[in-house]
Amino acid sequence: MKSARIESHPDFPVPTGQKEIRFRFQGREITALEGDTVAAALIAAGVETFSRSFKYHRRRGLYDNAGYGTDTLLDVDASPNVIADRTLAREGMEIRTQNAWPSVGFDVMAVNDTVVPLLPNGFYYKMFHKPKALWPLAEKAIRKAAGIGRIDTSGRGTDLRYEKRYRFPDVCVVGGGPAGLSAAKAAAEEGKQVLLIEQLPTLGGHSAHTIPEHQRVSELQAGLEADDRVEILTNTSAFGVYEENLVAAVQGRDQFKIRAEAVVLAPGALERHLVFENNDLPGIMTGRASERLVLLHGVRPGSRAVVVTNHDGGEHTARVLKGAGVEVAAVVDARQGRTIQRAKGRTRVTAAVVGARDGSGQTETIPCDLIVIAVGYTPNLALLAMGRKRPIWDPEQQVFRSETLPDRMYACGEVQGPATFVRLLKEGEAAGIAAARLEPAPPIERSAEDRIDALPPTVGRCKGKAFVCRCMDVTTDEIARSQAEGFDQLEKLKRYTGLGMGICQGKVCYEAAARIVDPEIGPTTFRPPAVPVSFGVLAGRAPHLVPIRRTPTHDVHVRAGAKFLDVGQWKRPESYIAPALESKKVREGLGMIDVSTLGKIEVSGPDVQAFLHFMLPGKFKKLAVGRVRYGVMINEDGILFEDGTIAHIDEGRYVISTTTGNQDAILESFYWWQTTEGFDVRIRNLSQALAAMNLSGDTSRRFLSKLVEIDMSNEAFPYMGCRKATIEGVNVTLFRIGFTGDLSYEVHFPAEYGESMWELLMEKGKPYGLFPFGVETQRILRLEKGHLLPGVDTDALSTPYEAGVGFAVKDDKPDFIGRAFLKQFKERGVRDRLVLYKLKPGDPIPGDGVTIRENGKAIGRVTSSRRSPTLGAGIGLCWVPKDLAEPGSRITIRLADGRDVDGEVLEHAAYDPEGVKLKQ
Amino acid sequence: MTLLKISPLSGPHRMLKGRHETIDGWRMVVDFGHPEAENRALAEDSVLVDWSHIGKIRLYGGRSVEQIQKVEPDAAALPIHGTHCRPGRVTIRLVEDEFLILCRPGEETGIFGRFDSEATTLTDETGTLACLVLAGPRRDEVIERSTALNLRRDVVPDGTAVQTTVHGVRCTIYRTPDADVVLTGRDTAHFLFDAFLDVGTGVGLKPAGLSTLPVKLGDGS
Repeated sequence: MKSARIESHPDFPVPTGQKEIRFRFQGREITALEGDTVAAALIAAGVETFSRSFKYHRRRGLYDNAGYGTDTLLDVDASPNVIADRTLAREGMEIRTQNAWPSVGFDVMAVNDTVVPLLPNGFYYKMFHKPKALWPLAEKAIRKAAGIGRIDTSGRGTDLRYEKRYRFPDVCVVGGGPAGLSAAKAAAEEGKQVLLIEQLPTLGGHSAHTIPEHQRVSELQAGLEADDRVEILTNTSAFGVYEENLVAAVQGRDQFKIRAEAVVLAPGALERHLVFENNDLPGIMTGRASERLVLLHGVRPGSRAVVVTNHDGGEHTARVLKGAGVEVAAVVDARQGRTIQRAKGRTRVTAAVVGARDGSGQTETIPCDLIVIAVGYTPNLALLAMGRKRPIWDPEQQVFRSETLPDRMYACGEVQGPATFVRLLKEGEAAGIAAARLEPAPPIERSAEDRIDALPPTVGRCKGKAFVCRCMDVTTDEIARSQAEGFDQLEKLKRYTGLGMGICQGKVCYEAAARIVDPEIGPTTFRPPAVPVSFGVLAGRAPHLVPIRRTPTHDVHVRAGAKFLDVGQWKRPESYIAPALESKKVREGLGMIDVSTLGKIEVSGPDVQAFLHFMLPGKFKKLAVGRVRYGVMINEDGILFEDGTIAHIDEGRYVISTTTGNQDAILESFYWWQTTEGFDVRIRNLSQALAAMNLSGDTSRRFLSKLVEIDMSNEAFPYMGCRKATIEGVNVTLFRIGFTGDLSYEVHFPAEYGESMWELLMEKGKPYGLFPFGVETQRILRLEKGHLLPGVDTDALSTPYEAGVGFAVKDDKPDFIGRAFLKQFKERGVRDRLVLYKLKPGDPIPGDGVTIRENGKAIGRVTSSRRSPTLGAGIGLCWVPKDLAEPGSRITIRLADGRDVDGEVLEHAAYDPEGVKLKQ
Repeated sequence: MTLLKISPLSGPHRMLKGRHETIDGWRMVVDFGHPEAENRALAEDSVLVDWSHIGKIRLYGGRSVEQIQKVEPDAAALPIHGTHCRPGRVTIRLVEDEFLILCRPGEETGIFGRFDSEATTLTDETGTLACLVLAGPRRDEVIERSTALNLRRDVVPDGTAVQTTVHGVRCTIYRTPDADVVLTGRDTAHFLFDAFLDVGTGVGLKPAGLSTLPVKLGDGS
């Protein structure tokens, strides 16, 4: 096939004077012109074979020039399966063929073309199963041979950017052909914001290369481009239409999620696929494909052509080809009783064999290097029929049609069946107006002059290779054999042969396949994605999918070399050196931990007492100003879900300190009950407003005394007290509480001072040996002290009585949340208990969650387990039956590796059981 | 010794080698070493600037409308998501009984003191909320990659606000003709800053300092 650029065309202003672009194809330099697709540039450079087919590894060239099917899939810059006829040529591209070895010109796997037809259908289902040992080998070989393209696993692609982008037009028009352009114009003129998406690089659809329609679509395009209300996205393919008018589209590596008030689907039609012998040879292409090459790219696709047609469009194609200097050897028009019977050629087309439409009589062989198929159009129904009713055959219009669309979705243009240019424009305009006004869809009208009679689904003798599905290499023979095996329905046939499961998802072959099998039943279901979409596009960018929350002092922890722990969305320092070392330092000196993530909720107002008594099971009437009390929170079902402290800061103003994980739920619960019960209270969420540090250790009082102006003595500021003070002029609130078991002070201050305050405290604390410690260290320390963590040591069945915090429940007061269930729990009595245990020094440390065993049965579980650096032995919390909860009881813990270890139930905390240190 | 207030973006700013100055008691970035490039990005592409030091006061519930009327009479009649501007100050009505006042750095204490804290839930959120400002002609391209919600300019026009999620983070966005002011919790500010810069890389987004885009509230002054 000889191809060349053309300078002019008598009937059409072909592009001229474009800038030259150079890229490499199989190591060969190719010169393209700006605006060329890769496919057009390759054809212009005389490249005939683009790829090898999926199964038989037959040569394939440009066919529809619209990007349907596997024929033009290439590897571009190490990205496999790039569609050459939708991709604009760029300077410096590195393009390679795929699915062929050692080259697309000589492919060893082409032996399949001879061997595979000798094998039974679906041979891989039937063979290699006996002897059994054969299958793993065969599977490996089949898997290696299967697939198209190779993913680059070198890691070079990891810097590729896949974006998700969002659009919210009033009207989204899918398809930039004449109907789509007209719809977009009409909707914009109604004052709507319009998004027009077109899968090809250029607008106009087939009319862009139809004489003289191209002039009108150029005007339409220019008008839309100048209209601020219209956004045009070319090279953008809609691959899914979902509920509530969500349109998913892909443009390069960007995924667009488009949520429109109304959607106009005008995806047009594909050239009808004609099934005849050797219908896949390079040099066979559709009429519109050849027109696009000639008129839009100035590329002559061959030198001697046979045009196969059955409508006036064939004459137009012949005119276009002739104008480009192609010798049109024959226009074989089925309306005159003749059509193609088969194509001849080995590596490309060398002749067309034509004969009577019914296959009778003599045939004529016409030498040619180009066969153009222009036998009507198949509506591109993928988006219209997606997830909806199966399209039905319209005998009047001789096409499948999808007639039911949801509200606010409209269809127009050739997707409703072929029509004249004028009708397409009018139909698009009507759809655009209806979409803009959200009116019912206007009726679709077609007349006799629009109809193109469908040729039989197969023509000629169809021996050898007559491809129904080009993507998956499914021939008429294979379909016949499969039907003979009982796969006689299209859905079954699809699953058995792979028919329609290639990258075009049946858009090219669905009509032929359905008509071969049973046109009454129609094609198989169309599902997204309607066009190939890479996993990268579907996944989008990963780095920022889940928010990360950082404390006000995060940066100083980074600089201090902290190892971070994910606590929900929070990044918290797990430790700075090693938790065991940090634990010892706290016990022996002075440590500081960032506890800014704790919830801090301030409640005040006239009803504050009543509110607290309703929300919490404790009593707070006698909680004096400046005092703090331990408290728990109970769900409506009586289950313990939170513990913390309640501080009476000022007269009538309380601060509730919550765990990191529960603060949002507690706050919402507070707001809910405030509203529903009508409490006159002010609830302020200070969790983000205040940073918080806990200073823990014997010297914490002495250290803080140097920084604040208030009396820090044990008498003036006792355990479970709170005081206001200032540090370097910054207002702080001090809470003397002790989660770690040592003398501790929690310092709350405005978050914006977080870094400065941390650095000040660390600097001033040097003489005291102050060092930072992390969350893991704190967990060890609290376990030594025997403090539970709600949600870690308790679950959705834990009552406060069984968890050992029943003392915080005061049920001799009026109604409060969870009261009814708590009463029942109390009456039922304790069945299991959360208890502290200690192991012998040197015993292995159980993992969290392992079971407590008795007589070979699991009777309880360990919830928290650590080695205590202070005691030099394992300690933990576990749930055991009541009779094993007595101090001194022996329990057997089953380790993850199956060994057992004995523990002793403790009466008190393992560290400072009398609480002397806290109260010193 | 005076303790400085630190922006929640101090970490990423330090990594980007921002040049810091003390402004109204805050340690803030004035530029990132190339003010000309930042100004060019502001004129031609888009910039991301930290205004976290502006004053922010929230009134919620109780007699918030009555209170706002005392201090900002015209704001009491605002529609939800409407804003009222005066030199150096913007009042946003977030919901029926919730208002957020943005003001020049350092003015929050004076404004706060004019409200009766017994009458409404009153919070100085200056340190609680971070404030990231997207400016420049291509800022919409950053936003379209950042949220699945409809922030089209005719839906959220200039001079209005919206409470939404951006990169999964809850935000209040106050929209002006020149910039989108994004208010978010200080805990998620670093994340949001990173996320904006990440998606904005392809559309020319650059971090910029206060010398490129000084605080302008209310009157454009």
